[in-house]
Amino acid sequence: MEFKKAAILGSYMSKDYAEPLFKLLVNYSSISASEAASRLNLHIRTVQDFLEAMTELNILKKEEVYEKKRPYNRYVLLKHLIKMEINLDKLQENDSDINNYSIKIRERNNSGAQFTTARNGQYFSNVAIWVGKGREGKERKISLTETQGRFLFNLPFPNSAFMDIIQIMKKAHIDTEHSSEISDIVNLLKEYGVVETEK
Amino acid sequence: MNYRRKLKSNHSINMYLPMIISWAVFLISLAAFGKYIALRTLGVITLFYGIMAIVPYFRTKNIGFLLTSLYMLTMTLFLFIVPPDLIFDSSGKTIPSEVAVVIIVMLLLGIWLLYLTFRRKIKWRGTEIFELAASNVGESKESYTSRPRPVDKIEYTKSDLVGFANFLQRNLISLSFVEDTRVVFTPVKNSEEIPFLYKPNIEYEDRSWVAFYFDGNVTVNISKKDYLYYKEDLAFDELCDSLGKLYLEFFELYRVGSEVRIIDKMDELKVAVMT
Repeated sequence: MEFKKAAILGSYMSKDYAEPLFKLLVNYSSISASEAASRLNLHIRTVQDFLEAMTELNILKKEEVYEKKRPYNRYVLLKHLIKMEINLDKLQENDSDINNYSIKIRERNNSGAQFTTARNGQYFSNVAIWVGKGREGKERKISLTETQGRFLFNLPFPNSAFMDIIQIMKKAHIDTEHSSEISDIVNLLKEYGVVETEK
Repeated sequence: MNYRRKLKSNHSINMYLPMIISWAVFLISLAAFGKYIALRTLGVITLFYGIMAIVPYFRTKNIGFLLTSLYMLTMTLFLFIVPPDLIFDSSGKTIPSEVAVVIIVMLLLGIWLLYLTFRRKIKWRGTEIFELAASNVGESKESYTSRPRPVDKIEYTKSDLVGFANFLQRNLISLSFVEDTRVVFTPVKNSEEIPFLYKPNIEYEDRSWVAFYFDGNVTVNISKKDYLYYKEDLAFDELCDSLGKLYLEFFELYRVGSEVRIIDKMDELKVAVMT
């Protein structure tokens, strides 16, 4: 299941009225929104949204019927077993050039970023970035994992020689299993103008 | 060897302030209360300086501070026992024997102190450290960052490191701060030593330092103030690396028992005694 669909399903499933509504759908061969709403003493709009969302997720089927030439929808349960399975690996970022770990980077000059050293002094615990200009500007503090902190501790200085991400990771003794969290922080800092890449 | 100086000249009057204050108070007392009170007031001031001068000795074990303290205390004794008339109109008066003894001791201590001063034995070596670190570093605009820089990883024992720290302190090359995981060396320039020596719990994290971690890592930090003390915008990355390598070189010289080479290297620069 796609993450967005799972999020919609999860959000509706968490409602108090989700169980009684599904109970009705299981026990009735088909039911309209107004019938369900009156049966459960809910607002018709609430029930309609729920039933429409479940239809979008292919859990229900919608049938248009007429009463005195006036059309309305009746809903039929299609799936009696709902499985929510999400592959989190799909969330790994693939759309950035940073994922090419041979790309060369260094700290940008005058980035204005303030790095705070962790207690043991050998990695950074957070980085504070000034976002916006003038009075509108505000500080954004990003807490770093130890791995990210060690990576940034070894990031080349402004105007010094660029280094590729793999080289920096080696210098900082970081295993390749942490590469995705490294690319995440590099992407973010590139976005905020703290890190620059070789042109 | 001729080095092209990379640091700006030091025009700070901080080191002369105690003398200026003492003379000002002395002259005001003389005008307001007369010779006797003026001399005794000056005696109280030198007593204070004598006590304060002993503090750096306990911190660094540099003999120069002990001598300075003894000199000031001897001067205090002199100012308390000398008849005021002997100072302001000595013609035809004989010097009491106890005063003569004190003057001789003061002169001997003074000569010893002058000797140590001109041999740079009581000079804070921060200027030399920053000059040496910058000697082979080129220029680069806008290369400063407030981040510390890892320099190298070497093997050493904790006792080697503590011995090295004591050596650097005794010779006023750096002040050392021993922490749970590392020893931090902060180079101190002349006239910048007061807060380091007298301020309790001084924050040295934002200053320039070289840290030797007990796991072997060596990290360098150069403060913006010290960076701007150079005449030109030096390549900051190279400068940090060079400062770290300089301490590593000193450490190696210390480990092989060639400490004197460290002193020679700094004396070769022939930096003015008062900077």
